[in-house]
Amino acid sequence: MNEMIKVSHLTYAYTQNSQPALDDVSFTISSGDWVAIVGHNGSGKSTLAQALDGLIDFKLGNIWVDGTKLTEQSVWTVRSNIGMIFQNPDNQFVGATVEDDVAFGLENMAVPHDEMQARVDEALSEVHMSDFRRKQPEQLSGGQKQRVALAGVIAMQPKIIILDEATSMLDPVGRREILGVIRKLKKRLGITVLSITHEIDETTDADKIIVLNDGKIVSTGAPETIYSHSGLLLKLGLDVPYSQRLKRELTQRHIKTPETYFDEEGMVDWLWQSLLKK
Amino acid sequence: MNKILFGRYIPLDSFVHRMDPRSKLILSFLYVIVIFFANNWWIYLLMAVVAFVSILASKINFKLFVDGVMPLLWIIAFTMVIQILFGTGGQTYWHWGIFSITSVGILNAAYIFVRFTLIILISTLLTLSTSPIQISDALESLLMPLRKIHFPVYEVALMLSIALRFVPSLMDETETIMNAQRARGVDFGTGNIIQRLKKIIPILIPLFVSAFNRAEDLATAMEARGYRGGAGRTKYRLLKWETRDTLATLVYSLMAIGVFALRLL
Ligand SMILES: Nc1ncnc2c1ncn2[C@@H]1O[C@H](COP(=O)(O)OP(=O)(O)OP(=O)(O)O)[C@@H](O)[C@H]1O
Ligand SMILES: [Mg+2]
Repeated sequence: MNEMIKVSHLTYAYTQNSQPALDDVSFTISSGDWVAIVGHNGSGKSTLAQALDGLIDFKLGNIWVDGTKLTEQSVWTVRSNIGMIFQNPDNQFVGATVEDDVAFGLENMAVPHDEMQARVDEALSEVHMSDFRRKQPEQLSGGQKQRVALAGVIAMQPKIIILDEATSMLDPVGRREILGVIRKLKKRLGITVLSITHEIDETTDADKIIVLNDGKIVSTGAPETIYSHSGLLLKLGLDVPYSQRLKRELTQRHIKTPETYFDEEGMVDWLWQSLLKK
Repeated sequence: MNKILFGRYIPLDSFVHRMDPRSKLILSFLYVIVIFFANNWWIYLLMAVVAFVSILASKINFKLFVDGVMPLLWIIAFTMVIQILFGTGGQTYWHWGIFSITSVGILNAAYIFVRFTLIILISTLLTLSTSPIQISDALESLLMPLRKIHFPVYEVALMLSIALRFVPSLMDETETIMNAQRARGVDFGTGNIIQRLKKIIPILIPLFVSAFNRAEDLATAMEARGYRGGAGRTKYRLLKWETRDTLATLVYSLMAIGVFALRLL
């Protein structure tokens, strides 16, 4: 497994603030991994994401993306490898219609017209939005807009997708749809996923979790390891997923629980089944 | 206001809808210029026929055009009254101080009515059959020669299309803010002009703040998607001049020739 992202000693402070938003951050992400970055409000998650995409100009530390060192010269190459989806569905919809928006990134990359058409079609069907291609943003729900944003990213064929709280303004159904599509993409194309969230429930897909607090990495590890330090998470204003908590409570009462991760619905099904078996 | 300016595009599949937005823009313009040369009823008849045939070719419900004229009826009526009261020439029916009602005045008022109505019909046809983004595409294409004098055509067109795209969002936002202020007891409906204007300020400030936040988010999102200025981009939506555009241009040119021929009557 080669390194897709390598960050070393990254430090960055916004000019107005004395406290750095990122303080000596170092980590690596292997190609094809799903990494979740968690932390409370203002812990520096968005700043980190923007640094990776070359959207902020940091002076201290280095970033390598797919082997290329991020510099002023390489920033457009690096950006073409990264697809970003932001929090607010309304504020990243550039096009007048769904298809225009999906094509926006391709237009910027000067993709020829015929190829553009094909890539837009494909990306829209990937997120199940083909029937909405001529719709205007006001005619779409938040979840649909985020799916369009995702299609815009897919059309660019990036190696990395960064979600900066991309599902935090969506209802559970919208959230599940977006994460479902990304899960499939990751499986099929081996895309590296970086999902930023303060919903710990969203980290259950991750291979690795990075916990950020006041610009510093305080913990890194597999989800199970991180969840077992629930004290740390609570201290940081985060919480382990509900289903994980349920499992722990059950185990303490000497009830055998499934090894694999289940979400709430999965746990409900499992409980019904184990009750029936009795 | 909502109803007059925005969200009027009626997506249908018709001859007019399929036309190149550039030809629609140019021909509408031509129509408005030519109608100012009209000086007798035959010309108005000819131009009315062209307008109605164009409307028929768009398959858009005629009622929508009536809705387009209605809000402007007051302005038309006002102009007509001025023309009737101050127009001079021909036979005088009534006279009082500077006011007089004359046959020429009445005739001119009638011309103005027809002229205004036809202009509104044609421009309504343009906006009902062409989406704002198509209009902005057409402008971009037509303004392209200005690049020679370093006018930022691409950027202006993108700005225009983004502005159009955010109009409904900002209107929603205004509504939300107004409701929030109403919930705090602000009554927008009462008071004199100055009091009412004062009540606008607590709407404008949050609106501006949110517009700036949006703009910043949008700029970041655009940059993240590789936007670095207009030059060197390819276009997803291509404009294509087709036979139907040539045909429409021919019809409108014949009309223009007809108008100038009929002027000699
Ligand atoms: N544009 C900016 N100018 C000045 N300071 C900023 C700016 N953006 C963020 N900050 C500050 O930098 C710190 C980190 O912010 P950042 O947005 O990265 O946090 P976050 O973890 O993404 O938070 P959230 O969960 O609220 O999105 C915060 O203290 C914040 O106040
Ligand atoms: Mg953030």
